[in-house]
Amino acid sequence: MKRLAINLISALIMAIFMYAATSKLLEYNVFVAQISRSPMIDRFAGYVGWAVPSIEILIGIMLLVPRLRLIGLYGSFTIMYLFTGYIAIMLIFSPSLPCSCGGILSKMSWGQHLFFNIVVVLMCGVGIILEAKRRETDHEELFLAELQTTK
Amino acid sequence: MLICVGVSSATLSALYFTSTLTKDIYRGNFLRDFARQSELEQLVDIDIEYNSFYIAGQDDKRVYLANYTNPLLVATYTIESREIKRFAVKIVGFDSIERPNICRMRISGSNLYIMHGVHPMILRGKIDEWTVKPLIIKSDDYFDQCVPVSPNSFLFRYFSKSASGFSIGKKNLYRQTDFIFNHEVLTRQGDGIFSLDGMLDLEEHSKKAAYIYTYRNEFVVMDTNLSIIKRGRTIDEFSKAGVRSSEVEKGRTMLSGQSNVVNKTARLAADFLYVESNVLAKNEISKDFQDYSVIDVYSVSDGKYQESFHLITKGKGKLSDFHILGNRLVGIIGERLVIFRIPFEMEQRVQ
Repeated sequence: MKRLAINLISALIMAIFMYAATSKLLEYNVFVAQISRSPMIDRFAGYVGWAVPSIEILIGIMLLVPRLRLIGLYGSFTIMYLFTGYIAIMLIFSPSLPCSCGGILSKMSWGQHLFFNIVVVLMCGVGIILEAKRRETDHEELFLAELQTTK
Repeated sequence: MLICVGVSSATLSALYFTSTLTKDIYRGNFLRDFARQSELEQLVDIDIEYNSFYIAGQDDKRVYLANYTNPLLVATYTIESREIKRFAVKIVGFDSIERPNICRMRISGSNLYIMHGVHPMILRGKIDEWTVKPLIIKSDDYFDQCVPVSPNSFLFRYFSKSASGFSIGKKNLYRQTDFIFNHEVLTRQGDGIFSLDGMLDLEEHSKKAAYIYTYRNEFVVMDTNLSIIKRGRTIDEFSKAGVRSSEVEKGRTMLSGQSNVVNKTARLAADFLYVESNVLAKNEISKDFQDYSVIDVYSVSDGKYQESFHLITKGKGKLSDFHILGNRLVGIIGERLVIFRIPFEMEQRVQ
C-alpha cells in the first residue's frame, strides 16, 4: 500500500517536472524573456533559463530510478519549495506580476499556482517520509532475514 | 527536509533583499506645482462592482462606461439622478465576435462606436438605441488604437510594414481610398513596437489629437490631417525609453527586462493635456506617492507644464482610467467611479 503511494507520488511529480521542463525548453526564448521581467531573478535570467529545466529533467530521471528516488524526492521538495516561496514573495511584495510558467500551468492565475505548488510540496514531503520509512523497514527486514539465515 | 527548507528560505531571502523590490522608488529632479490642489472638489465616489470598466465617454448629463471583459456592456451614470443603469449593446448584422476582448468602445456625441482592430471592424450606432451596425472596412486594415474623428473617419495607430513599427494613420470609411498616414509622428528608440508605445487621444471639440509615449517624456499634438502641431516634453527626465524587447521567434517580439513606465493614461480636454505620471517629483513624499495618482497638466498651445493635482487612491486600488469634460474629471479607481470638479480656470489659464 505504502509502496503504491510512493510510486504514484513519484510518477506524478516526474510527470509534472518533465512537462514543465519540456514546455520551457520548447519556448526557450519566451521563457528567458519572461524571467527577465521578474524583479527578483532578472539578473540571472540567462542562467535560470537553462538551469531550471535541466534540474527538472534530472530530478525526473532520478525519480524513475528506485535507488535515487529518495534523493529525487528531496530535490523536488527543495525546488518546489523555492518556486512556492518565489510566488508567495511576488504576490505579497511585487507591484506587478510577470508570467513565467509553462504550458497548462501558465493558464493558472498566480494565486491558483501558489495553491497548486503548496499541494505539490506537501506531496513531496509525504513521499519523502514514506520512502525514508520504507527504506528503513526494508533494511530491517533484510537484517532480520540475514539473521535468520545465519542461525 | 528541514535543511532543505532552511537553505531554500535563506536563498529566497537573499534574492528578495538584494532585489529592486526592497529599493525606494526613483525620485526625479523636477518639482510639481500643487498650488490649486485644495480647489479640487470630490463630488462622487461610488461602487461600480467590477474593476474591468473603462470610460467610453461623457456628455453634459451622463458618464458612459464600457467594459474590458464584456465588450457589449455599457453602464451609464447620470449626474443629476446619481443613478447607474446597464445596457447590453446589440449588434445588427452578425451573431458573434471572435476574440471579443479586443473590442474597445468609444462614445462621441450621440454616436456609439465599437472598434475591433484585429477582425478588423468598426461598429457604429446611436446611444439610447444601443444597437450597432458594422461599417464597411477592408479585411486587412488592421489597427491597434482607434479614435473616431467623425462618424465616418477614424484616427488610429497601426503596425506599418513600411515603417516596420507602429505609425499613425487616418481613414475615411465612406471614401475607401482616403487613407493618410504620417510616419513622422511616432519616432522609434530601438524597436518599432515597445519603444514608441503610448496612448492616442482625441479632443472632441477642437478635433486635435495627441499621442503620449509610455516610456519617455514626450508627447505629440496633431490635427486631424496628422500634421504635427506641437511636440512637447513631460516634466520628468526620461528622454530615453527604459524598455527592452527581444525577438523570441520570427515575427514575435516580447517585452524583456525591467521596463520604466513614465506616463500612464493621458487625455486631451479643451486646450490642455492631462497626463497621469508614474514618476515621483523632488517635492513629493515617496510613501504618499503610492497612495495617490498624480496628474500633470500641460498647455497644448505652448507645450508647457502648468500644474499638477493628485487623486487619492488609498484603499481603493489604482487609477485605471480618467476622462475630462469642462471642469468635470471622471475617474475609475479600482471598483469605484469617482468624479471631481477641477478648478474651471484651469481651462483658461493660458491667454
